[in-house]
Amino acid sequence: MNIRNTIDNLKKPFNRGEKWEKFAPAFNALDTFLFVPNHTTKHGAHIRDAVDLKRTMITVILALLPALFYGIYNTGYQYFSQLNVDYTFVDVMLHGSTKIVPMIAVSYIVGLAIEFAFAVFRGHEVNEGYLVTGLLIPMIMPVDIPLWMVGLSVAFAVFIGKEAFGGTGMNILNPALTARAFAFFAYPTYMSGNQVWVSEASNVDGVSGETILGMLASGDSSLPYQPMDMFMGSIPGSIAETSTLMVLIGAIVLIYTGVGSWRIMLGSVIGAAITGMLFNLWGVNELMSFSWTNHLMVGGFAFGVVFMATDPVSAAQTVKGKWIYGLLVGLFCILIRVFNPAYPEGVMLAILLMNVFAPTIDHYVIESNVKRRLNRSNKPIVNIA
Amino acid sequence: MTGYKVESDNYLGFYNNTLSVLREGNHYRMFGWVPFVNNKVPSIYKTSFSWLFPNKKYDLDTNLNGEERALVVTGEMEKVFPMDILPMQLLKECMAGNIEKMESLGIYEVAPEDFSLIDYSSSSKIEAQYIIRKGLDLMISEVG
Repeated sequence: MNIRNTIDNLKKPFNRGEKWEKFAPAFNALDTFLFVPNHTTKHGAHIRDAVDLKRTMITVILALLPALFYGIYNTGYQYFSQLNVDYTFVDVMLHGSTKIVPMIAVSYIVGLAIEFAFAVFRGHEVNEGYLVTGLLIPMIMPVDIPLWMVGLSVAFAVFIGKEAFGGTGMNILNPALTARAFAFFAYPTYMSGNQVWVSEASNVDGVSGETILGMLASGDSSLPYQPMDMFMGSIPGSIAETSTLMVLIGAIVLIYTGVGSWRIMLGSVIGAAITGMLFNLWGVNELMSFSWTNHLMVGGFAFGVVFMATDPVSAAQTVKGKWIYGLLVGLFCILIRVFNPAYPEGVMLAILLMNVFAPTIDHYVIESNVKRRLNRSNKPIVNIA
Repeated sequence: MTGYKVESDNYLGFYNNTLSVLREGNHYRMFGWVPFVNNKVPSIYKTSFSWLFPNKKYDLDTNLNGEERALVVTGEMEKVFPMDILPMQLLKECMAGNIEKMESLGIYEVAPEDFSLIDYSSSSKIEAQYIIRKGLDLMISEVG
C-alpha cells in the first residue's frame, strides 16, 4: 500500500530514540486518523470489538449534523425573514455558513492546538473527545458572538475545564458547557438580552429577536410563535439548539447505536415534565403557566439533555446514578427557568450543577452496592454436611 | 475467552485445554474507524451493520481495532458483566492500587477471566483482565 509506505517513511524520525520522539503523539494522532493502527492483542481476550473511541465520537458528530445544518439554515432564515426582503434557500444557507463555519474553524483550531500541546507535553496519545466538544461549542453560542470570544472560551474550557483535571476522561464539568458558561459570565452583553439571538440584530435596525424564554421572563406573554414553530425550530436562540425535531433525530441515532445513554435522556424528560406540570398547576407568573410540553421544546432543553447531559465523563457513571442524575437535570432546568428571571435559560446551569453532584450520586450508589453485598456475605452459611 | 499468545515454535503448558489459531491482525485499515462502513467485525454497539447478518462468518483476527484511550464511555462494562459488582469502579481502584476499596468492591469474588468480555467490548481498549490480574497479585502480596 503506497500511502501506508509514505506514512511509515515520514514516521521514522518520530520513532523511539529518534530526534523527534517527543512529538510522536501529534504525528500518531494524524496517522491513526488515516489508518486504524496495526496494534495486536497482548493479554487477555485475543479478539476485540470493532468499536473504538474514534468511532464512538464520530457517531456523536453524525448525530449532531442534522441540528447543525438546521442551525445554519435558521441563522439565515431569522435574518432574512425579519428584513422583509426576497431570499432563496441558497441565500439563507450562505448567510448561515458565513457566520457559523468560521466559529467552528476557530473552535477546532484553538482546541486541538491545546490538546496536541498537552499530549506532547504529557507524552500520551491525543484523545478524540475534543472532536465532539469542538463542534458543540459553536453550536451553543449566540450567532453574533465575536470569534475571539469563541477562541477564548475554548481555551478556558480546555485548560481549566479539562486539562487541569487530567485530560479526557477526568474532567468534572462538561467542557462545552464550561466554554458557554465562561462566555456567559465574562461577556454577558454578547450572551443574553434581545439583540444577540438573530444575526446582525445589533447592527441593522428592524432586526431584533428575543428568545421565547427571554420574553416570558420579562413578563411578556404575547408570543408570536406556535408550538409547531418551537418543535421545528424556526425561533431565535443559540445556533443549533432551536430545533427539537433535529435534536430528536440525533437522539435516535445516539440511542440506536448505543452511544448515548437513554436513561439520562428519558430521566431528564420525565424530571422536567413532572416539574413543569406542577408549576402549571401553580401558575403564578408567565413562565410557570407556560405549558410543560412547550417547556420541553423551547430553549436549549432538548439539545442540552441529548448532547450535553449524556456526556459520559461528566455524567453519573452507574446505572442507577444515571436515572437520578437525569431526573435532577430535568427538575433543576425548569426550576432555574421559572424562579430566576436573570437566567431564563436554565439547562446550562442545571447540567453544570448536576455535573458537580454526579460523583456524589455515584458515591452513594457504589456504597449501596458495597453494603448489599456485605449483608449477603454475612448471612449464616447453611451447613450441608 | 482468555488465553495467552505462544509462538509457532513454543510449547503448551500443563493447564492448557485449547489451542486456537487466530490470524495475526498486524495490518492497517484505512479510515477503519468510520461507522457503518466496515461491517466485517462484530460489535456490541450498533455502529456497524454487522448485527444485520447474524449468520455471516466473521473475519476475525487479533487486531485491537483501535488504540488504548482514557476511560470515557460508561455503562458498556455493566452490559456484559453478569455479577452484582461494579466493574468499572473495581478496575479504577485496581489501577489506583487502593486495597480497601478493592476489597469492598469485590476483588475477592472475581477472577481475571470474568473480565474477558469487558476486554473484548471496551471502546477504550483497556486490558481489563491484565489489570485485575495485577490487582489480585497486589492483594496477595499485601494481604497474603
